[in-house]
Amino acid sequence: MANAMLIDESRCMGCRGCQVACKQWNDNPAEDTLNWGTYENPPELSGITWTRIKFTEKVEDDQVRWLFLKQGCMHCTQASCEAVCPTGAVRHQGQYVLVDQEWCIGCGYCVAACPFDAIHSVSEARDGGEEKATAEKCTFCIDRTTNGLPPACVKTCPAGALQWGDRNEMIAKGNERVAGLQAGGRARANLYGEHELGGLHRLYVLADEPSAYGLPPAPRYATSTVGAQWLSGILTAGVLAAVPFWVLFKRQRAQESREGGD
Amino acid sequence: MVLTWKWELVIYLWIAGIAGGAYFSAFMINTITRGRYPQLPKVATFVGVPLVLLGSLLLVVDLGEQLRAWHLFTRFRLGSPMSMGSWILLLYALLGLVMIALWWARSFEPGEIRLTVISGLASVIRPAAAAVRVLAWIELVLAVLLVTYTGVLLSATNQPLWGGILLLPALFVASAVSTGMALLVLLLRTGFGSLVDMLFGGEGESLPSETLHSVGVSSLILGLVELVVLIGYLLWLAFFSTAAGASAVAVLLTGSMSLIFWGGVVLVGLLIPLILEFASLKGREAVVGSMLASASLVLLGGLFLRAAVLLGGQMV
Repeated sequence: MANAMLIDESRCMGCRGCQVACKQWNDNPAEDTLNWGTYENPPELSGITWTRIKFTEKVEDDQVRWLFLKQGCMHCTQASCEAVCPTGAVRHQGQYVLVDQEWCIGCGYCVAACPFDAIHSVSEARDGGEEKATAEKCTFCIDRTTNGLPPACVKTCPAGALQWGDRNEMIAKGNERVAGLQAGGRARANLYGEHELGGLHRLYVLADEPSAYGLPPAPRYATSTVGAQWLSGILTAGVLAAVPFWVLFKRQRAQESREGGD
Repeated sequence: MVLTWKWELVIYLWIAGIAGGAYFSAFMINTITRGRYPQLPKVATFVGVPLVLLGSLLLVVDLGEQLRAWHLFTRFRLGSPMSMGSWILLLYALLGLVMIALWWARSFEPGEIRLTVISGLASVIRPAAAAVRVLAWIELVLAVLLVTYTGVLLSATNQPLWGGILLLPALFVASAVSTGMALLVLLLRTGFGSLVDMLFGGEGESLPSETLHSVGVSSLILGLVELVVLIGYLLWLAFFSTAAGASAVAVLLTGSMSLIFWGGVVLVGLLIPLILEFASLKGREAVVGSMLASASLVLLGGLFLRAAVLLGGQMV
């Protein structure tokens, strides 16, 4: 029985209380940022910012609508970070995708592989240093959730936009809410995460299409075509062996056998 | 915007490609001509193994936890290109060192006495020297896997410029063989190749002009193949991948990587060398100066290509 987080973006009001609760519970320091013309802050997820609200302004019928998206690790069933990790430091434990901090070598491969940009090296901000270290991300507050408590962000959400519980139950609740939104005129409302990448453990009730929020409509498992990629390189080498090498140097081979070799 | 992989990785992808590509080219020429140029694989290995070792060092430097690098060799993960790459690098370097030792041991006459300790050592490993023929084939397989892996490393991700693009490994292989060939040309034409050949007991004679002509034509064709694959790669990104892929191409063509792309990759790495090679071949005689110049430019172009793709891929 797997648990999941249900995130109702139609209820989110962008207060960013979840960001603060996450930082406090997980003992992550603040980031030194500059105002860049939006309430959205910090600008990106990082090794010390495991969740953040992404603000998107959408103009519809001459009205500006704010779309809020609670970003963070989706704990995918098919986790790209786990697939590419060379040391096996990133791995599943039940529905949790966790980084073994004692085993991670800080290569940064998971950072490049994640389709949601949700895992990062602790580099930039910790103690003002620039050193790259291990990869960190949302753990679903495993120290809380394995002790019967909801994740810190869920606990703190004042808008009732976040819920934590059995995944099937969350899917049922999400679908119910989507149906309600559609009945209320939000024709594009949908539930994101039920089937993506074998099923995400963050489920989103979205009032608009995933792409409007900046979510990939069809997230890709990083190593889904890795066999074909190897083949592509090897075939290229094969082609180069034929042209130019075989075509240009086989003449010398023929000459040699006529001369009887040396 | 934080770059996870920086210049260490740029240099590494570049020199690993050169090392693997040089061995590939050398092996092909020597094997297709039925062992007429045995000095070529020796030169390529003698220069390639240090390059691979230097590249591996850069990889370790780039890690967040350098002292844990050994964790890489506690797992064999077929699905993780970086895991496979670590093993390929290790085997390639080890096998290369063994081959160098065997070639060197074979350069001694059985009864020859030079420095007693060294010749003693050589006589110990000399009986195994026949194995070098088999090892050379295994090293070829490893070289192909090595240059392919540098591309697969990037294409097995989710960055728009790299992720799932099948032509990226092809592009890196084409560039690797092209730059590897360029390194061979530089080594052979500056006398370093002869030096290495003599070290292994050869006579250090330079290649006949007919062969040099073929080498020149090969370089030209390799450059053309790389140009075609590069165009295919960009077209694929622009028209057949996601919207993010198209904006990734824009980073190369008109964005912050445009100078490196147009100036470095296209002009310095492809067009100028191609024109030089074409011009020098017209006279049927390989012109030394223009061969050296175009080989140097091709090598530089390989560096620019890795920089544009690796850094540009993280800027979308």
